[in-house]
Amino acid sequence: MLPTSRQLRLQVNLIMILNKKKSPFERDFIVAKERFPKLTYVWNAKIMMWVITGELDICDVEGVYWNTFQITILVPRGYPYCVPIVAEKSTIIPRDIEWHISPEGICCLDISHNLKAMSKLGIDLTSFISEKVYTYFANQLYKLEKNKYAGGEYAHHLDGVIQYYIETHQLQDKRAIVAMLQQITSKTNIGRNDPCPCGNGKKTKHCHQSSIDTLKTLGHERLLSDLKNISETIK
Amino acid sequence: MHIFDDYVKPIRAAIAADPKSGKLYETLSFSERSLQKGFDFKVFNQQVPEKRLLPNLADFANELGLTPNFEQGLGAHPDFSHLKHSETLEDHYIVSMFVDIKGSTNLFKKYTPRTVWIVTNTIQRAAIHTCLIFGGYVHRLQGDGLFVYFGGKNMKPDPAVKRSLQFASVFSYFVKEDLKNIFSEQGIENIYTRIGVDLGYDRDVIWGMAGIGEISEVTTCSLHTSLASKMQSYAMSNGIVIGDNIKKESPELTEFYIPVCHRTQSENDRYIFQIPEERFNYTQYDFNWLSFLKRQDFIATDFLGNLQLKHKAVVMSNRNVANLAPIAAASKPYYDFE
Ligand SMILES: [Zn+2]
Repeated sequence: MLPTSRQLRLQVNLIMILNKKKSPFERDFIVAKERFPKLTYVWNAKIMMWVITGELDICDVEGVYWNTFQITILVPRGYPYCVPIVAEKSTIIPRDIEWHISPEGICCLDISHNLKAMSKLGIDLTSFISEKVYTYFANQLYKLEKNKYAGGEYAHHLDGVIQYYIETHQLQDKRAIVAMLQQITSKTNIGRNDPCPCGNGKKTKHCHQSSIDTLKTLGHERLLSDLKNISETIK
Repeated sequence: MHIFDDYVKPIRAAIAADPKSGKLYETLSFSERSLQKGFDFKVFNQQVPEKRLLPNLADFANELGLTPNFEQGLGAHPDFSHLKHSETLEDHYIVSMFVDIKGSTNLFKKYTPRTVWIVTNTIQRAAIHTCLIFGGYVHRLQGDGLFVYFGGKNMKPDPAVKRSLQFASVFSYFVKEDLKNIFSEQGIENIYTRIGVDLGYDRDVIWGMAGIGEISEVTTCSLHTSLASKMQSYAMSNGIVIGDNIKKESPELTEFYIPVCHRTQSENDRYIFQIPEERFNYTQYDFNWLSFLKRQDFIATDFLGNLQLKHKAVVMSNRNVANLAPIAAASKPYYDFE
């Protein structure tokens, strides 16, 4: 039997509602697909994540093709406020600590502090893939050719965390990091006109204000554990 | 995509050398006009040889593992050429495609006929070369465009359909993206393609000789050849319209097909052909060839979103790791696993 026009209208309405109900992830994926056309996704109810899989082709700035990585990106359902997990399924990257990849192929794209801060602001799938994922794999291809990375890299484990505070937040040394973390994690609020916790004598607003704002988004626990771990290395 | 760079060059050169774009053409006497240094056929043939692919396109063919057959003749598909001067008819499937190249009339506003000749012939040669790479057969030249067949006796319909769509997509990309800048820089409306493709099965297609004596060709008599031509006129600028049978033979591409009536907002455009008594309704679809092309194994989308050819078979001599650095340097990896 043919559907009546009323039934058809209801069906159309239903489709419109379903479309409207598209999650932010699904909407953003449509955009990302234009740039990364060989990626597809499914929702995995068991792990409550979007699972993106497929090929990532890497070209250089001249448009010359270099290589193709098989990748998986797990996107938590909290998207855009989340840190996706990226893994290489192909085995082009040597599974070695010096290549910033776990034996299972999980890629350490950046220091967790940066990823956390990024997730607090909310990520955009296309920017995440082009700025964090594409660059990571381009860098691995660079290292395969030149035996070194094109830009910097973080030291492993705690040394990398210390490096993060020194390079990203321009703190002099471990003592300055500890002083800073002690102040931020203490109960007292740091006023904009108070002397900066880094100890250089300037007012906070003229010194580490934006660093303090960023660090606060990382959460109390993270800062306390960094404080503890870094303090221990000074003793 | 750099595969057509060598075809873009002679077009640029011809435009640059065009007397009308330099001196005021009207002020020249007739003899001066003919003395004006332009391109001649010989130079053109050196730049765009008839039976040799230009280097970048040759790389592309190499990449796909395909070798063009330059020994074809018009109007005599090699698998059916024995029907010439015979009284036999054969039933055999074929993919028919009409490639129309539009907008060249505008070129006469700005350039001499000689320049227009170079431009249109370069585009047509690029079309023929690309078609041959994908195993197509050029049946007839139509104006600036082509009437081509895909498939034959040594191939099933579904790979023939796929090849035809690959050809149509690669060529549309060339005209839409690579040629775009040349003409917009000159303030000339763009040249664009319109392509119609359809498949007729064995039961739908009759092959035989048409015409008389040497005024003849081996050709198809088929509803679906006619529909391909008709669908071409429904295509958008740089668009490709395909028929139901193409869709049927490429189920994995369903997401790229959208009924034409969705674009035109007119239900009349849904079917390209109907026989109401037989309840035969034949739908025409817009083919989202750009998305299809991006998904091909031989194509990579680069950091800026341009399509590039993936070279695997040939060792790239022009690959320079310094060109990776600007992208790679933005990454700063870490390691925190136990
Ligand atoms: Zn400070």
